[in-house]
Order: sequence, then C-alpha cells, then structure tokens
Amino acid sequence: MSEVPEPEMAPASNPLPSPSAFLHTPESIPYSSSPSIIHLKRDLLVPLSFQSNKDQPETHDTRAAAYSSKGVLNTRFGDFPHSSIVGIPYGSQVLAAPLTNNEWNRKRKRREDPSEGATAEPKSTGFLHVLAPTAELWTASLPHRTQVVYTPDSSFILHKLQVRPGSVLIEAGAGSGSFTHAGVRAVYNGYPDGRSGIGKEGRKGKVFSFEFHKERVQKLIDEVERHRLDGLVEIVHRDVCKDGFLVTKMVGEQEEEGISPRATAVFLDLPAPWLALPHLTRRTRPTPSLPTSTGLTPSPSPGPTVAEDGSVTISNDKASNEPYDSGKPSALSSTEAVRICTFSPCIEQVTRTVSVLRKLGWVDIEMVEVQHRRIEVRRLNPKGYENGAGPRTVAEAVQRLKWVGEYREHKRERDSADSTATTVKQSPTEAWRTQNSREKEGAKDGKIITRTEPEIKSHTSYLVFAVLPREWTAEDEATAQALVEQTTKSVVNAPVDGNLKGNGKLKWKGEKEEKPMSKRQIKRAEREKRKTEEGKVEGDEAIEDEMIEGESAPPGNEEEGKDIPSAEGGNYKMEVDG
Amino acid sequence: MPEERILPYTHLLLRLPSGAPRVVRLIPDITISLGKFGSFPSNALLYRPYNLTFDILDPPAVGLRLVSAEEVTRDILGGGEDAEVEGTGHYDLEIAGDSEEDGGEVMRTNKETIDDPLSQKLSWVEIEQLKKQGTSSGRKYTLRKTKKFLRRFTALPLTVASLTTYLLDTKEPIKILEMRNETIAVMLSLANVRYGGRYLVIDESGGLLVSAIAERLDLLEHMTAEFEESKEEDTARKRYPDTPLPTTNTITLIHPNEQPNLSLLKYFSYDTNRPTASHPLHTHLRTLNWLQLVDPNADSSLEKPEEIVAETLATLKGGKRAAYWRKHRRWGKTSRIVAETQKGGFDGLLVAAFMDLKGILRHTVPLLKGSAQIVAYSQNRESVIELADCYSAIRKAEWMNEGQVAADGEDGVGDPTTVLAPTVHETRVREWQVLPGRTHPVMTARGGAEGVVFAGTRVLPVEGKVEARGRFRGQKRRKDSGDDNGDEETDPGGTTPTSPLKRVKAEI
Repeated sequence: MSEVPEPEMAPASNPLPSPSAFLHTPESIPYSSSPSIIHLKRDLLVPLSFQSNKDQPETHDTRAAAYSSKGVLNTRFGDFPHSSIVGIPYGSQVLAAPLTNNEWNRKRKRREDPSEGATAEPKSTGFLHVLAPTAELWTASLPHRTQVVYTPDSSFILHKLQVRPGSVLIEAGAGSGSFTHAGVRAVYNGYPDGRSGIGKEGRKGKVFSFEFHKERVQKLIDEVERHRLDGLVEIVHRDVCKDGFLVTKMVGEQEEEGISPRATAVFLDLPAPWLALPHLTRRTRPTPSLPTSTGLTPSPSPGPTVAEDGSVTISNDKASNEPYDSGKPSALSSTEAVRICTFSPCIEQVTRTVSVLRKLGWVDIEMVEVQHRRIEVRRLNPKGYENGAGPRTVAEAVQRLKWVGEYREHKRERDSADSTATTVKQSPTEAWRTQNSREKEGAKDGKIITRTEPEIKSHTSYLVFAVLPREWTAEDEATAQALVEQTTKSVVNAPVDGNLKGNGKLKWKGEKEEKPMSKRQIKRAEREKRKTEEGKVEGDEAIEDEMIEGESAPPGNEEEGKDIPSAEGGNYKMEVDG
Repeated sequence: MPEERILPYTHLLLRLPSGAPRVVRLIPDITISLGKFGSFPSNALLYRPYNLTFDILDPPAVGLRLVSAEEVTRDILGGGEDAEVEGTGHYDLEIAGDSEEDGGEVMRTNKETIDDPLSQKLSWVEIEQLKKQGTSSGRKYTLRKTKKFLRRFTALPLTVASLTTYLLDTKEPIKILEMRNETIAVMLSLANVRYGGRYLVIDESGGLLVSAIAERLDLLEHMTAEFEESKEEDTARKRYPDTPLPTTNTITLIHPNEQPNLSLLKYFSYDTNRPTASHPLHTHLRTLNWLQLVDPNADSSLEKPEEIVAETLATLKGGKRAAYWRKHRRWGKTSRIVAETQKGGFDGLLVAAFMDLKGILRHTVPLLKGSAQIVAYSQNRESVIELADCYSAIRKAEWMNEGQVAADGEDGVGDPTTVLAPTVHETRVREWQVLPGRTHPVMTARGGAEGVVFAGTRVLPVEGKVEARGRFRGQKRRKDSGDDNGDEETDPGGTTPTSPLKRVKAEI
C-alpha cells in the first residue's frame, strides 16, 4: 500500500469541479449549488445555497425559497443579503442588514402590533450563523420525504458495519438521503477522478443507493449532483426485492449491465428485507422460481427462493454441484466478509429477517435497538416561580406563616389605634422584605437541572446485524496451506479440515443425518406422522411436565446444579428463560 | 481488491462458545492455548479468512476443523430451527385432550413448579434416563453443556468495535472511561470525522478514541512483519527528517503527562515507544502535552539544543554525534508539532477525559476552524452537564454585558459565545435475543457510566455588542425559551409578575 503524497489543495490547473463541501469544508462560503446550513436558532436550520447574481434564484427547496428571495434571506431575525454572507468563513455570525421595505417586512409590519412595530423598526442587530454542511446538520434540516434514519442510529450502524474509507456500501431504501450522506462520509477516501487531491491508491469508497420511488430518485440524483457527490454515490432506481443489486457501468461508450458493486456492507431500510436477502448471496444459483401463494411476492431468479411465509428453499447439496449461474455475479465482495444491517420498526419483520438470514448462511446475528435522548440543561431560578409558587423550604414556609399572623395583628393594632398614632413597631412587611431580599440572581446561581427533551423518539427501529464470512473453498484452503508452508518454518503442520460435508460433525442426541427424500418418501412420512400424532400426545405431555419440575428445581446431583447458572447470558443469548 | 486474511503478527479476537473473548497475537509456528478448550497451532489460522468458526480437533489429532455456517446456526438454535418452530413459543402450547372448551389448547406455565430446591422428586438416575429420551428439555440441557464444553471458537478481526466490547466485558472498563460502542459511534458522527480532516483529540482512554478516529481516517491498516520490527530503528532515523509531515488526515493528541498513554494502539500494531516507521500512524499522529500547548516557553524540551559547528561535530565520537543529531531531530519534531497546533485551524475536537472538561475546552476551542464540531465525553453525567451550562444563553448574555468579568478564570470555559447550540446526548443500545418464538430484550445489560456526550459547534462571533431580535413576548412563555437567539434579552433575575408578598397582600 504505497501512499501518494497528499497535497493540501488540488492543483489550480485542475479542470475538475471542486470537491463536495460535505467532505472538504471550503475556506470561505462560496457561490455554489451546494448548500450551507443557516442556523437561525436551536433546531431551526435551513439549507441554503448561494448563487451568484447571474444565476436564477434557487428553487429546489420550497422551504428555503420561502426564506430567500432575490438574493436576500428574510427571516424573523432580520434580512441578510446573500452578498453579506458569501466570502466570509464558515461558522461566522452574521448581523442583519437594516430593514428594507420589502414584501416580507411589510407583511410582518401589518401583522405586528403598530406600537410594537414602531419600536422594533430601528433595530438592525438580529443575527444568524452560517455553518458548513455536515451529514448531521443536513439530516436535521433536510426536506423530509420519508422517515429518516437519525444520527444515533446511523452512527451505530456505520460503526457496526465496519464502514471505513474504501468500503463499498449498498443502501436500499434511500428515502430522503440522510443515511446516504452519513454513509458517503464514512466510505470516502478520495474521488475516483482525484479532484480533491487526497487519497491512496486502491479501491475508492462508494455508496450504491437503491430506491424504488421514482420521484424520490429524481430528487436524490439532483441532490447528489448539487452536493458534488458524483462518483461517490450512485443512485439506482430499482425495486431490489425483485431485481437485485447488480448495477450498470459505462465501459467506454457502451453501457454494460449486470456489474457487481462488490459490496462490503449492506444497509436495508425496506419494508420486507427478507425478500432482498436472496440477492445478497455469495453465489447465485439457477433455481427455478416457485409460484407463491399470493403471487405478490416476486420470486427472484438468481439465488434461493423465498416463499411468502419467509421460508427459504435452498437447493440441497446435490444442486450445489451444478454449475453456478456465471452470467449473474454476486453483488458482494468475493474476498471479504460482508456485514449487513436491516432497519425495521416491527418485531415481526425482525423474526422473519433473522430466520431468512440464518438459512442463507449469515452468522453472528444480533438484534438491538438504539435509545437516544437529548438532555436539556437549565439553571433553576432560586426565587423563580416557574416551578410553582410558594416557599422553597420548610423554614421559608414557617417564616411566611409567622409573618401572616404578625401582619394581621399589626393591621388590627393599626386600625384600632387610629391614623394619628404612629406605630413604633416596625411594619412586619418591611422586616419580611429585608429578610427576603430578592436580589437579581446571576447566571451562576441556582441549581443546574436536567430534563429530557419534550418529545423523545422512544422507538426508531430494530437493527438486525449479521456477517456473511468469506466463502472458503477447498482450493482456497489448499492455497492458504501452501502459503503457510512457504512463509513459515512449518513446525507444526496442521491443515484445517475443510470438509464441510459433515465429516466428524457433532450430532445432537437423536439427530439423524438428513438425506434427500423423494416425493413419495415425504408423503409417506407425513401420513405416518398424522397417524401416530394423536395417540402420542398424552404420553409426551406427562414426560414434559415432569421435566419442567426437574429443571427449575436443581436436583441433588451437584454437577448438574452447577451448570444451570453458567448457561445464562452466554454468547449466543439463547437461554434466558428457564 | 483488498483481501481479508489473517496475516502474521496481527492481533485477533477469538470468541469461545462460553461468550468469553480472547485476544491473541498470531505469531507463526507457535501453539495457541485456550485453556480447557484445548490448543491448536497458530499456523492453522494463518492466511485464513476472518469470521469463520473452527472446532479444535480432539487429541491426538492436531489442528482445526472448519465449521460450516449451517452447523453453527444449528447449534445456536439447539438442533435445528425446524424443531423449534413447531413449539409455538416461550410457553409451549400443547394440545390437551380433555379441555375442549379452551379450544383444545392450554398454555404450559410454571404453575405446577415448586420453588424449593429440596423438592426434587426424581433421582439422578431417572433424570439421566429422561435426558436420554431426547425430549426438548433434554435438548436444552445438552445445549447448555455444549456451550460450556464445545471446543469451538470464531476468529474475529480485532477492530475498534470488537476491542471495545472486549475491554468493557473482560478487561478494566474504567481504563477506557467505560465508553461503549454506541458512545464512540455517536461521537465520531457528531464530530464529523471524515477522511482528510485534521482533528484535535484529548484522549485519556488509553488510545481507544484515537484508534476509533484513526479507523475512520484509514490509519490502522498496516502489514506487520517481524523483519520490519527489527530494522525499524534504522528506517525511522533515515526517513524522518526528509519526509514532509502530512497536513491533512491527521490526529493531534494533547496529553496530560510527559508521554502519551496510547497503550491500546498495540492491538493495531503501533507502539508509541517504538514506533514502526511504515505504520500510517507514525506520520499522521502527533502528540504534545498540555505544557507545550499552554506555556511552551516553560517546557525544556522545546529549548533549542546547542548548535555545534560542523567541524567540532566531526571530531566527536560516533555515539556522541548520534546523540546530538537525535536530540536535534526530536527538538525539530516537537517544535514543529507545537507550532502547527498553536496555529490552529482544526476540523474538529474530540474529548474523552477524566480531566475537567471546561478547562480543556477553554484552551482548545480557539484552535478550531469556524463551524468545526466539538464533542466531549465524560463518564460522569455531571461534568458534561456542567459544561453545557457554561454555554447557556444566560452565560452568553452575561459575557456580552460584562465581558471578561463574567468568566470564571481558570475554572471556566472562557468566551461562551464561541460555541453554538450546546447539546447533551445520551445514547444506549438495548440488545435483544431473537429465537423462534422467544424474542425479547436480554434480561441483564451492563450498567455503570451512562455515557453522556456534549456536542457543539465552534462559531466566530461578531465583534461588539449584539442584540437578539425577534418576537420575544410570545416566546418567553414557550417551552423552548432556552434557545440561543431569543433569550438574550430575557431577564434571568426574576422580575416575576406576582411575588408571594403581593399575593398575600391581596388576599388579606
């Protein structure tokens, strides 16, 4: 892995477009089609791109367009001409220009109370901040077209999927493109055309993003172009459940079809991820497509067939000896382990997905949900009444009650003694005032309190993770063994027994080696099963009941008693309930 | 195309059926012992792919047997999924002949179970007999036994994610500040860590945060070889002064002691005491201590060593001459790093520290570019919350009115207006078990530190007095009155409309 020198900026003579502002923050805010994020106030972010005066005003985002007209950004914090923003560094605070008599202000003046409007008029010191775009800010500000994958989820997914510079990520169900932006940041290691001037030799990271909604696809393609992510993100209009993940590639003038993206990580945000899974196998097998009960389920041509109930028909060992469908390559990288994550809100989707994953040879299956909360931090005003009026301590309550009594007495005395007699006694009210001087509290007084944000996302989706190890054939094993013998002293010669056909395979008690059965055999077995079932039930039940008792109450046998706790919380998380 | 193989001298994680992970370094021609699970020659794993599961062959046979994914899954499910699917769940539904009014189904519960360990009515002989019959409970029993005694392991790559899990579960979690994977992940995302950036890092987790960032910057991939280690000294000497230091895709670490504690980088074949020159971290990771940043004049290592004229140098003995050059090189390197750091312009700041976060941010925030993202993690929630409070709207208003007076001196964060939108995130992952008919969250999970992360954005405030504008009257009573923009005019001191006094007066 030789490293090419990394110049700080692309050479000036480079005719290539500048790299995306998402990946390389420009020194100052440019006139560009790529958006900057306008921070108006907390949780009010607007993506806005600044075009030089010659260009047409931006119309891609209706929300931004509402704020921005004729080169001026109009907000309730004032008006900001684009020319006052362009050219300054990112992160700058920008002051509003003096009010102009434009349409927005006239409307606002009408809305406001006239007296109030008069006082507000001369002020011109409202402000905003202009931030460089990041995947997070984009997610927070982007025009939602679908439910988006938020940062806590997307960050964990990318971490677990081991997405790194140079990875190839498949994303199915691109939606609003929020995960696409987080994904491309993780895979990025230089543009294929070298426009950013950084990066090593070798594979360049890329995101293949599939979406079956035509309108969304158009918007995504438009977005990728404007954000200058071309070459790093490829948007494909496709129903992946039906048509798989193979892409087209321009080879010279010709468009070549059926090219494998050679993915190393897969993220499926689909309603039925199990239907897409058969397209994500190591080898594609020519399996006859089976009719499904409803006809709704597409039966994918390459790969095993998934029936409507989620059960998979995988061709048995005999079939695997048949030649593989060489015309359709696997969409996965052939020399690396592939990690997958599916994102589904319902538990039923999860169980189905997991069951299909297990049948297709995925291992290390895990399911998690991410719980995220934002915490609000405030200072409790010690004498504030935002949390209910009244005394703050018992002492204060006692004191106040005393004062009420004293005041009553004082009043009675005053009333009876006429207005001529001056009271020598200090008015209890004044005493109260001196005792409870309500001085202005500083920012550092008062207890710090925390609370969670008013609305938490208590459930986003369940995340299912799995790994598909690299395919390891007898030939691969032989080459590896040869390499070992070549490079080491080979002191211990220990070949790996790579025979997968069940030699020395441990058997469960009573497990029989399954042999492929003929149709007649299956039918006969079923018939026999039906016959015996009714008679058997009662006897079985008796045994089962006794077993339960035997299990939950550890028996006198010491060894057995010891074993039970150790089974809990194991690696495979299988025995939690006894 | 990159190939994923177990290369010699790499660290890898072996996961045993009991769930306990083991970290081993794969040195060729040795025997790796896994205690009671047996031992195997390291050559049997060499150049094989990761994520495969192997059985250790019973003696006298030596070696491993590759276990197919199908078999692994079968053993997880305990004898085939099909068998499990038939039972409808946790409480197995059974057909009961005599209760037809219930639709013929009864739920098996623990109603009849006697919660007394002495109430065992079966003798062990009878239990053994039941086991032999191979009922589903018997299978469960065998499964437990299998998990305990199966001589099987899965070879996993040692990545930041798997290392974090390993350190949290088996090693001392306090040394990595009990940082969880989800915390690290959310920090990397919020800090906008991306290939090509320059990051300023304060890491007291022994290098876990540094390695997580390095992974995102593609700085961990490295081919280790024994021969390289032996001659690494020479190459370092020869290469160092000539190669220009890269200006992008770098990590700058500020550490509290004289030397940085980056011991966890050893798992990624990088030792800070004996750095391998060919490792990408060698040129892309710079370290300096707080003294060198805050008060560089007081640091003796930054004093320029005495220049010796070339003629006198030639007369010196070889060892002395080498020492002179080494000293010079070290000075050159350190002063370059310090100068570069003080120039600032970093793309992001990531903090995971035992130290007080406020002081850290006071010294480091000015070194960041405008719009750079800031994240800070502490194992106690309180320090993060205290930090967030320093950037509250009230503090900002106070700073703008009173200036330096409002700052807490050495204890404070300095100018609070340089950080926009301070937020505090708390994230936690909940694991589930997914088995046919028995899907539920796992019953116990790791407690401990809650992993609260502070996030903010470095901004460049306008010089002079700035007043917020907007419609405040309505805002005051709204729940989001804590925002940055609208709040600066609101009076924190409580000219509250009804004081208790007035109310009492009115009542009387």
